[in-house]
Amino acid sequence: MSTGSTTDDAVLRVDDLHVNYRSGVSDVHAVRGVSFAVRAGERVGVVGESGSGKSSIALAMLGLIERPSQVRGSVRLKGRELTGASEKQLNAVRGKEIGLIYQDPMSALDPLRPIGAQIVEAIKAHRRDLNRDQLRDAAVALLAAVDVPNPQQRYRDYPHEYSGGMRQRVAIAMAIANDPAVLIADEPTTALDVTTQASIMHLLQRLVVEQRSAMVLITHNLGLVAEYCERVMVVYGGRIVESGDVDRVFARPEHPYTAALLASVPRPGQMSNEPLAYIEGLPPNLRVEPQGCSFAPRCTARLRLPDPQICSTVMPPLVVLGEQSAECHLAAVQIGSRHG
Amino acid sequence: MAERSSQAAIVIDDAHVHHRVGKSVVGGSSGVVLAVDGVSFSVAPGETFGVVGESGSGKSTLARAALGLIPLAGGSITIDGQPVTQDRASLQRLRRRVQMVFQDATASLDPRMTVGELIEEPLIVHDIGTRADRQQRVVTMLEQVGLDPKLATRKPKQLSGGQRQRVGLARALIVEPQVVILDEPVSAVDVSVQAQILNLLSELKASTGVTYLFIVHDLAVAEYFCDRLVVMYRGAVMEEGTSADLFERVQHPYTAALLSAVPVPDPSAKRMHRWIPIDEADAAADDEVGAGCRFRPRCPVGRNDELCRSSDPALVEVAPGHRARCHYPGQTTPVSISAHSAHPAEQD
Repeated sequence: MSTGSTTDDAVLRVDDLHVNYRSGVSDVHAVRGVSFAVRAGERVGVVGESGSGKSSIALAMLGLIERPSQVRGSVRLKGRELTGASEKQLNAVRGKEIGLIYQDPMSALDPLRPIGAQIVEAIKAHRRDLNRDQLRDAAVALLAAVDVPNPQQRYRDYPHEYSGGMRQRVAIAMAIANDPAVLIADEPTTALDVTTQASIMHLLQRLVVEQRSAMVLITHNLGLVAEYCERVMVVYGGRIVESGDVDRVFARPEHPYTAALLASVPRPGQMSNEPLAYIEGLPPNLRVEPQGCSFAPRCTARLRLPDPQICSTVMPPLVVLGEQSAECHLAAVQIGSRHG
Repeated sequence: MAERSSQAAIVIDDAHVHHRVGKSVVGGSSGVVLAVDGVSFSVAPGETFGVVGESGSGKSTLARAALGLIPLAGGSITIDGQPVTQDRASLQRLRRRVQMVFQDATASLDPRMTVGELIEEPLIVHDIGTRADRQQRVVTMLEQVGLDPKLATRKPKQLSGGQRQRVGLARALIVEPQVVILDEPVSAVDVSVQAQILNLLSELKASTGVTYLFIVHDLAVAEYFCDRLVVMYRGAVMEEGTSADLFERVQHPYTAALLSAVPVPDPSAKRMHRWIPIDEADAAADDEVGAGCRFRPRCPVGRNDELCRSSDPALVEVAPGHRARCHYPGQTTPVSISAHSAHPAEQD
């Protein structure tokens, strides 16, 4: 791992990240040149529909994409390069500097071992200095921190004795055990009821604020991003098509895809005689490299351009407007005309 | 409750469904779970009626009972004037009037059949039309659900998720049923596809006058799509009313907590709604319900209240057409506070 020099306050910096899955005759180019930075303590939402590449970004950041599939580009955590790092080097980082929470907590838990022993193991992996009693106390304290009732007793219970929400709390306890600088949560509440989802999300928010960790929330749920994140990145066809301050992007999306996504969710008070906006067509085939914007075939907004053909022939420029940016020919024209 | 108007498309009267459970691995006792515990409501023809609830509420069990797939332990369900029984011949007649659309279209479609065969199949089952008639109806149906008739020769795996859901709808509607039970029809698809399916369901209702019983966990979709709805919890209806009743004049603390938990993709709206935390569902807490309200162990209002502990409230009308099963309807703060709270409430 080379130590890069970072003078800014970014704890995580991703540059021109690509993920290529080897499958069949042609590769699936799932992530296509993604760049972003996450500041310490910042909560960032990565939102996209299925097949957009949002989960591949998370897997690539953690070095979890296996050969023969390929990861190109750079992922730097506190200045240390993670792409190309050895498994040993990655293990020193995973769970310590960077925590991961999956959609299904059982993928992080061994069904045959008591919960307490598994949390102890997560702590021990990076803390050789603690003795047995200290480890046990730390594990019980973690269960209490994630609001598991009666942590002393529940320490001895097995995963099947926990409800789905309580299991996700345990998975969170393991992910935060070593105060990671970045917590990556990949659809952490998708399998849960809405009341449980709300308490898990409030818990996550409270913990990252207390620990001053950054959180990258990967989700298809626009509502979760609006409520729990400060910044949003909208992923389509393996690229970040729009990003910026959550309030700003949701109130005034610059990219037609973001706008269409927001309009397809029923608004409170909207009646069923008022049809929902929807996106015609299918998501892009990631085996094929697009000539222009990958959203162009489904985009109706581009007809507002004097030459809509440009969208399917020329890659759109990245248009930056203060804290917000979008990759779109139309946004370039519109912002240009707004600002003379 | 037993008044059977010949007008109603669906009348559910004090329906009970029991699930027998064996001894669990953790050593719990065997017994009977009251999956549906005395549910009553009626749905007018052409109405879209929502059944909302979290997992374990009994909403899907109720849907299965309405199709005659599970026997009732008590009470009755009547569809279009005909009682739902376990008798084979009457079930066969019933299935022409009631169709179901499932959440997972992929699992409900035979992968070896073509789209055309899949849509024609219900007509063959119910012995409707000649071969030529049926084929014509399949083409018309494909167009009605927004699918290119050329797709008739494809297999399900060659379609997108949204297209498969449309095939499921076409299969349900081709026998011209009076009632379609929609069991979470949009919960497995992306939001952009969800919007297309919901729009299509609205169009089909407008053109056919069909009645929808819509089983749904997504409250934003329920509010948008349903004329009236019930909120179920642990087998019982906790609140019933129009969409506006439930979303603007909520009476039951459970409904209020449910609504407050829904994340809204509108940053200007999020500041207006305040989350009401409730404890997670807990089997141990359910065991101590006893004679009291089934929601009491998690209730932010009546958790420590004597009345809520000792008596199960009835579903009563709080305003015309708006019913709530609560001793303290409309209340949002605890009615009595005991010295200790066993549940550390999360801070907002």
